[in-house]
Amino acid sequence: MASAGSGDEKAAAAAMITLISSDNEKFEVTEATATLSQTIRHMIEDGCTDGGVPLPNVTSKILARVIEYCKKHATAAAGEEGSSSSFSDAAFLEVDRAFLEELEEFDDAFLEVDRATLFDLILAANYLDIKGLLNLTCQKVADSVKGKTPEQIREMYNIVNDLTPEEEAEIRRETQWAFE
Amino acid sequence: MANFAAPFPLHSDPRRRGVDPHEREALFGRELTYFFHALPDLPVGVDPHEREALFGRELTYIYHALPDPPVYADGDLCVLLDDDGGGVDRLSLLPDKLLGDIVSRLPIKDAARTAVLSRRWRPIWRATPLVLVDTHLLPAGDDVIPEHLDRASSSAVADAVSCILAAHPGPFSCVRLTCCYMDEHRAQVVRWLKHLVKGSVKDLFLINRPWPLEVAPIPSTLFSMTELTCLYLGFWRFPDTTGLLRGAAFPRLRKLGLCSVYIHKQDIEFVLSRSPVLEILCFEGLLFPLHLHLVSNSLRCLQVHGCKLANITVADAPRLERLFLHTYESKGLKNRIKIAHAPALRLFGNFELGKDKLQIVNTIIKARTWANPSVTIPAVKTLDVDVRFGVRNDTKMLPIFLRCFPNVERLHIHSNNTTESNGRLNIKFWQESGAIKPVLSRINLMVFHDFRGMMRVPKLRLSSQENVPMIAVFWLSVRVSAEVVPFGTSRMALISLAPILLGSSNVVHLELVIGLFKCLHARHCSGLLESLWF
Repeated sequence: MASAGSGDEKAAAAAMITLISSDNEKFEVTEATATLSQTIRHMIEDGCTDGGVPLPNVTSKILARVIEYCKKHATAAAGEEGSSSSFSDAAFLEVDRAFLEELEEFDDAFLEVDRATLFDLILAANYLDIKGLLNLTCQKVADSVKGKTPEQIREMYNIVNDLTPEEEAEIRRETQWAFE
Repeated sequence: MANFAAPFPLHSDPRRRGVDPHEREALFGRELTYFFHALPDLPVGVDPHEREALFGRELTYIYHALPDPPVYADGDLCVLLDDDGGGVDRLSLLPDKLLGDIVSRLPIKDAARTAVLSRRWRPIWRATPLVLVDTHLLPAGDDVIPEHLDRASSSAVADAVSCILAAHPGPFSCVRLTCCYMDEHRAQVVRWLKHLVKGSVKDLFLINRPWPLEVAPIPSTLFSMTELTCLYLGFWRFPDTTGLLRGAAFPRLRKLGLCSVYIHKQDIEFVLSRSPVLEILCFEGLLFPLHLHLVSNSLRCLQVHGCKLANITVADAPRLERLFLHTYESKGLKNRIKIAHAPALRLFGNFELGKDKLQIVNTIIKARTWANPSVTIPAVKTLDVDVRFGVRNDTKMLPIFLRCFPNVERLHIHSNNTTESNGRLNIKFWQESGAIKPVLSRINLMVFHDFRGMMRVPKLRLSSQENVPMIAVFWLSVRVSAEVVPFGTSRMALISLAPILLGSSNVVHLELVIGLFKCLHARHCSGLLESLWF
């Protein structure tokens, strides 16, 4: 049993994937970390990861951040697979709760980035199909516009209003309840 | 619907021969009267406003039972680090799918308002699956479901909901309505349901505000919502399913919550038999006594909370993993819980020795029930039991009850509040009920919740006698609510237990929490905990 276990571990350790950013920087990550990305998971399943996975849409700066996120969450995902997600005994075990809190703190700190990075992360998460990261980053943008008037949002995100006054008045009339 | 093959024989539905409608009506009338008499917090003769206020408080229990909404209003604290983002509008450059994703995370007013941002944004909201949480339509616009609500606000919400459901082409991913006196807007509610069917609603919360207290029937349009995955109903009378088409079903429903819904026993059975993938079933604050005969091949979790006297039979539930119970005090009448076939049941919770009666297959567990392997539920790993330690019968039943769960690993014991006390039990009693020891030996986590009444509170006695099983790993957490243990001597007495435990037991984790204060927290103590004595 023990030897089989360590054998598995070796196999897992050996399964490293090389990710290549748009500016040709190489990142070695474990398969567990890489497969948080559904895009990469499919590539691995199709056996086309030899010689590295080129990611022409992701810069090294953003890829480094994405990998940081995946590493942290890969451990969490491993735990979830064992128990059946929503039915885990988290309510009864404070240890689990502590871990979840830690993960939440990590996510909060992770999001303390400038706007350009945030949008780059959204696009990277979308391209790599990393559900958790996409949720996290889109939620951040949503949170930033909550409770703001359209004028405030336009100003905040440099959105140019190209609607004619008549068009805008029409939309406001149609959804009057939203402007009360 | 078309490709849904019912896993049950549609022709052999016993309901078709069912109950005479007049008889059902009479039964409803009787039970309604029963309900009005049974409401302890609504004394007759008090000012109507006061009664309404009291009733509002009752409603909050239901609100607490609802899962969190998918969208929350609180986002004001979110700040972006840089001031202007370099003057570029990167947000609008995102693909439609991602803009939709962002819009679907906004409270309904914010979401709809994005349409006036620019031409790029105009179609986004309508093209995004609708998420409507009606508390966000109130002037305060926050996530809290208000306890009290004036009629004007209710009408305003109802009108806005009508506009939204009519304006949005669907699909509706979540519609959560809790802020309307729906009885006053019946015509609107009927239209809502039609829109909800058309919009293929997935998650639906329809929580009525019944005042003056009335239990109105919900339109049976409900049964046309075949895309439902989650349904919570509050304060409705469930439609009579007798007249429904044979094909009526919820082929995708995974979660069903009935909060103070009047539902006939046979209608529950009907819904269960027509929900082939239902995993979670909750009954919350049921107005009327619950009678449930559970037959389900898919159900994994059954939760009964704040309900009147219950009579539950788990007849055949091969996948049932969790059974939570928390029922109302009802004088002299015991809740009957019968478990016939639940081979996967691993969590059985909050069984109250004082008022619940357990039956395993054909044997009712009584003080004189002998240990018998056929009268056990071997799969249960986590058990939660309420014991009134001052009451002799409870304490005597405890070991007999525990013997029915030979493989329990986690035991939660709540000491229930009681005014009656018929004597204290001595150590001799605990030693005599020796059959409990094999059970205790498998336990690796034991939590005492809310010790009460210091004079009757358990004492943990230790001795170094031989031939006593080792409790392999023992995690003992003693929590004491501040309100039940006064300051002074009793607290001190409890704290003084700690060194005894520490010095002589195999406790690996000991937590002593009194009220909000953690008095002691120790890990890896060594020694032998001989026996627990209460």
